[in-house]
Amino acid sequence: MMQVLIISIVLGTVYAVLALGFSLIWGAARIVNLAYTSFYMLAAYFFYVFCSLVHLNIFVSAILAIGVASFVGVATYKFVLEPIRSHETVVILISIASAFFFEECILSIFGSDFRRVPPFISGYQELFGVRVVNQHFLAFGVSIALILSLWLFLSRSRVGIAIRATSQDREIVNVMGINEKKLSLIAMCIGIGFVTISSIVVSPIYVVEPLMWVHPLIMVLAIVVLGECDCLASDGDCAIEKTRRNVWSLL
Amino acid sequence: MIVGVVSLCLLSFLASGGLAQQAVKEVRIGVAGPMKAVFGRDHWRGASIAQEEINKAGGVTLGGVKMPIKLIKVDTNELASVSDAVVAVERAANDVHFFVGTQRSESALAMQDVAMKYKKIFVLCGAVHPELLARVAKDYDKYKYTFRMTISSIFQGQVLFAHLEDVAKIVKEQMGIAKPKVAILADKLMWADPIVKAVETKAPGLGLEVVGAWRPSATASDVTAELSAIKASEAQIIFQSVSGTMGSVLGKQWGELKIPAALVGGAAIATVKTFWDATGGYGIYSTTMTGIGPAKLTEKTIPFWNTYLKEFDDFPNYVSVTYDAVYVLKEAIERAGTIDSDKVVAEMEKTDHKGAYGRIVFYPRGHDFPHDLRFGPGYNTWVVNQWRGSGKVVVVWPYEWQGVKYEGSEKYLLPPWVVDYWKKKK
Repeated sequence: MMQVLIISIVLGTVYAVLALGFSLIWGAARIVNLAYTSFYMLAAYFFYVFCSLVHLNIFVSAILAIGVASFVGVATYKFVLEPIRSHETVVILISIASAFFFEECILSIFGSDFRRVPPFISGYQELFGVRVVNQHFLAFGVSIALILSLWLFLSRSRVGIAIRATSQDREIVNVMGINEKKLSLIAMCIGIGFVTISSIVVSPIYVVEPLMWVHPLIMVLAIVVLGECDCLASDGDCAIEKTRRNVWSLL
Repeated sequence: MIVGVVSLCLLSFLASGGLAQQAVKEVRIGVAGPMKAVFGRDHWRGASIAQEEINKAGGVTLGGVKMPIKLIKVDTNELASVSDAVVAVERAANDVHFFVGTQRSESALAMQDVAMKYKKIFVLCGAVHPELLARVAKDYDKYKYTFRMTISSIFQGQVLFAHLEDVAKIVKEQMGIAKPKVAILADKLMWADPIVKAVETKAPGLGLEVVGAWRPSATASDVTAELSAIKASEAQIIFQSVSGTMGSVLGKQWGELKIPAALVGGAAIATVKTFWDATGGYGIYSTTMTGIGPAKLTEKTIPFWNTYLKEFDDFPNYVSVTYDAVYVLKEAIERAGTIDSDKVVAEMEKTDHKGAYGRIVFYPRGHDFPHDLRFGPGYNTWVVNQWRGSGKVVVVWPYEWQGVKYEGSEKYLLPPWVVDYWKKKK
């Protein structure tokens, strides 16, 4: 029982970060971005390239991987999803098609072989008789830090409050002179940043493979969509708030 | 006008009976497999080596004329979609004379019907469900075009169990444990159910105690909870039976957490060299069942192993038995003197071929599974490989099993941390 509890807490925080990023994008930009976890896969592959193929320092590789994958993610939003974002069904279709496109690109470059990236901290610790790899602790710590940062950002900063306002009523926000498009872009950057950082801390625990984006997407949808279907039909702030509640209950 | 001409050409092609009636200039073999996955890629690799060797030697002799073999890639996408697989075979059926390949039994059952409809010989190289060949016994005239180059899951169960018996004996001898405990870790998939049940019921007969069965998803990305639970159960042996991506994660996390239990059994993904890289070397001392290893199963095994390794920087997968399949087809075609399926089937049934993967003989008509690969001492046994240092594998089973021990095989080694843990515990 103890092992299930410990591993669930660690994995729960990672999924919490992914779900928060996803719901932030939905709440602020009104986009159900099904390509979201494909950037999780891309970050892991970029990390693999920089670290295992180019043999750069692991921290440099991590920063580069987060940067490049986030750039691809934001560029996808800016040039593919934003122009069609008023057509919700089309956005869903195009975003999932983008995810498959990225998967196919990875398959054609790296094939279907499994890859490995090195851990930031190797070894394991015994906690209440349960062996937990050190990388799990790092993933847990980074996830908690991200969740707290987002909470502080959304509740204390002017931009964060503006994002919440945007998710509540876009028209009023526009009337108030707030650049709603810019805020959506910021929310997208944060969301994509969350998914790429999660990937970097989690991928050394697992194996890197072209289909690694599918399972997290299912989990994220389970938390955000299936858990609170009515949110999608109502408003984005509801999505953010209810996901936050789901995340806390998950924790 | 153009439509008319095209229609006329098409009609005359169909009237002539398509490819079958064309003057044969080459033997066209469709290599059917999920080409974006490891299995399809390795189907192709095995067949392409055979094609290269045969064509270099002049090709297939048919009616006194030598002609080359041409391989056609048939991407079935069978791991993701049965319907994709069926469509792929349907589309290729008029373009090839024979099929080799396929890995996922659920898809193979559907593809088999299409191939049989076109009376195309389908040499299965990876799908192991018994039903595929049981169909030949039930309706010989319809399904006689099916042959299999791998042992069925029934015999795979026997291999795994015989290997488990060997490991249990070593655990008893080296660690002084009278009744070793076994934990089963298998895919949550239907194919693994009979194996789990067999181990649960038969293990006590070998002086083993089964402490439980853990069944994570075949695509699980983290099995540390299961491994921790197995450690808590005080098992000395983990019997794995996994076909999905979980195999790599399991090998990696088992070694990383230094779980004090020997990891034995079968993990499809652990048969290729990339398993070593994917686990970061943590898969050392784990074992897996496969069709070939670096031991002298026949005179052809080591040369093929080396060629494959040199050409692809990888170990031959069990599905790369397409290499032997192409040779078996070639010999049957030459004996029949034609590519006519019915005549080639008659010659395929007489096959006694010493291939890279061992001796290839098919069970005869009248058997419960006609055209299935014959298993047993003196025939095909398959092997169990163990990962050793620097990413090398050695054959550790059969090791004096019913008098069978291949040159180059070695005795199974327990992971040192497992031995240390249990010795300290005593």
